[in-house]
Amino acid sequence: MRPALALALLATTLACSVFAVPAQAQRARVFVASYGSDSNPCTFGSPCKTFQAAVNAVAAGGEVTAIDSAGFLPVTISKSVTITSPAGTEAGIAAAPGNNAITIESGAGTVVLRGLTIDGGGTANYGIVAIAGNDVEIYDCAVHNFATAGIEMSAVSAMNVVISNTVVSGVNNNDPNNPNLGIDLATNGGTITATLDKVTADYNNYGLQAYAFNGNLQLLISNSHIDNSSGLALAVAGSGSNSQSSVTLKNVTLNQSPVGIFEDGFSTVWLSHVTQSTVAGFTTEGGLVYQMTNNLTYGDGTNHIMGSLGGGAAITSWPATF
Amino acid sequence: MRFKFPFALMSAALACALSAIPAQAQRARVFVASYGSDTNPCTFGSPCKTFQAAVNAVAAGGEVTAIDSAGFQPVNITKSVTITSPAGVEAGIAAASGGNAITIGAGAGTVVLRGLTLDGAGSANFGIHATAGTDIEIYDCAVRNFAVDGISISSAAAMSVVISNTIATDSNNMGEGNGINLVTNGGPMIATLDQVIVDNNEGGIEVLGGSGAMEVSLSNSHIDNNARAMEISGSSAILQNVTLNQSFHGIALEGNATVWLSQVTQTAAPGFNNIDGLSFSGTGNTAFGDNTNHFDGGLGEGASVGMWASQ
Repeated sequence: MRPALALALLATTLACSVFAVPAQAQRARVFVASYGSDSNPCTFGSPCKTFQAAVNAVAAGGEVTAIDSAGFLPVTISKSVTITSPAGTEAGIAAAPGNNAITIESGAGTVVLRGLTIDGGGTANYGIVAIAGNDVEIYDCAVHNFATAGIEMSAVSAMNVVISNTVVSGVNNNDPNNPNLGIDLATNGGTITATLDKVTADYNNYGLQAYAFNGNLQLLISNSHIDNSSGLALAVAGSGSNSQSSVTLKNVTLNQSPVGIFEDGFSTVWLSHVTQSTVAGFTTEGGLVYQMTNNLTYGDGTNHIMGSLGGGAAITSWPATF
Repeated sequence: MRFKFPFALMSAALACALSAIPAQAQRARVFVASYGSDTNPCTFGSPCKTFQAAVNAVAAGGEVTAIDSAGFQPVNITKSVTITSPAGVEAGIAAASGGNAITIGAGAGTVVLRGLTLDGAGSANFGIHATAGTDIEIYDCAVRNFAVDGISISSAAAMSVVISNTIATDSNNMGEGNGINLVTNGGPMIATLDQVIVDNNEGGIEVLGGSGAMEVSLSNSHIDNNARAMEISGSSAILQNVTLNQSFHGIALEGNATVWLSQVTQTAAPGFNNIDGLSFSGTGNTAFGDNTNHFDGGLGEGASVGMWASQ
């Protein structure tokens, strides 16, 4: 079965009941702890119990820090904020079926998530989903078992994305009509500039998707591994001359999937030290597959695309300049 | 043929209400601590004392977290679960003679092990012994001093394996121990090993496609000072940026094995015992290289390296 692009268009509905925000000035630094209470002011001495209470309490651009290891429940973010679980603390979010762990929506500016462990139990929708925000940075996180996507960006305006030292493993739903995605970067009226480094996307249907649905998208992914994707490892697609996907891969392994790199129109991919594996005994379809038109792939002589090239697919020389 | 784009209009379902956990249901998140007790409910405030009690108490797919540094004793896993020792906490398992540190068996689905220190004192059998599971992920672990294998994973059904930033050392008892041993036993296995150090074992990494296709991607790793660095049989292996530092044998292909090599360095130096860098035994072996490899131990009888074209 041919792979098809997956698109999740997110409606910007806000149905969250928001805790009442006190009229006094908000703090720039708040805390959550296992022993906290949401009726507290979220100080270090009197921390709150949930990420949501802390995010509501903190000033825009402030910082929420987990004091100790616990689950701090799903959170919706509509401001600039940093949520940090420092080294030594295991702060997590377990999301309920059909829900999300972290939702970033209108009002968000710079959102930084660090050190969080997010689990969807196989039935929650999104681990991290951003339908707004101009700078979303994800460091040292673990995102497991989400049914729709582990990390989803849907940019309605210009968005900068960083994902570093993060693992996203999914449920590998093996459903070609509704594939679950490890990481999905999509433009939906805006643009995305994304940097992914030391990322592992494992056991998803689509490992990584870069989809310029409406607006240009540029992605650099380095030192990463996209493994055991039941559908395809990397999907790159654009929609037109103003919605093009440009993806550069540097030192990336795409280990075992039916399709390695799938370019679906208005896509340009640059490859350096990329290894895409396809071996006997496993389902193989193509190392590089082109659909639609205006696809281009460059290689610098350091890559190994082991699967066959799909009809029309070709790798052009990307010369070193010095 | 045009592709159709499956189009899912998703509303951002927001989970703002606290979800109450029924008292009798298992928790999704449990804790162990040095001061815990296995008669506790394994909450953060009343943690348990052993990994086993916590794994028994946690809901399937849940998470067991170590609050502080201690030994939490061997554990048998028959469900999906994550066991985590966060940075700054040294949660370990000292396995008893003849036993295992972590056993993963029927019932396991996705099992994630992070930050654990496993020690066999030379007399325990396996650090991690998995004979079931659909997705086994091992991060930031240290596995040492086991008599049989540090990490042994066999797949009776389709299995995905990730081992990252992990060391497997000092399993060198009586000429049998492997640092890492991956075997298919009825189901296929896809394994990704990255930033792995396998040192001072009898066998470094053994990959056996016994019954079911086996494919291993090994990158940014070091297999050092083992009697046999890698043995590959009935399997496909891709090595990228790997050092095989000083062993009797480098990479041994032992029948129906295919290996692809890029930026692999295998060392053989005067004053040390060396037999061969790459050897073939049995039939149906193939090796490919892309001119970025160095095999100082040379090729054993029958071994040859074909061209692995680069683009």
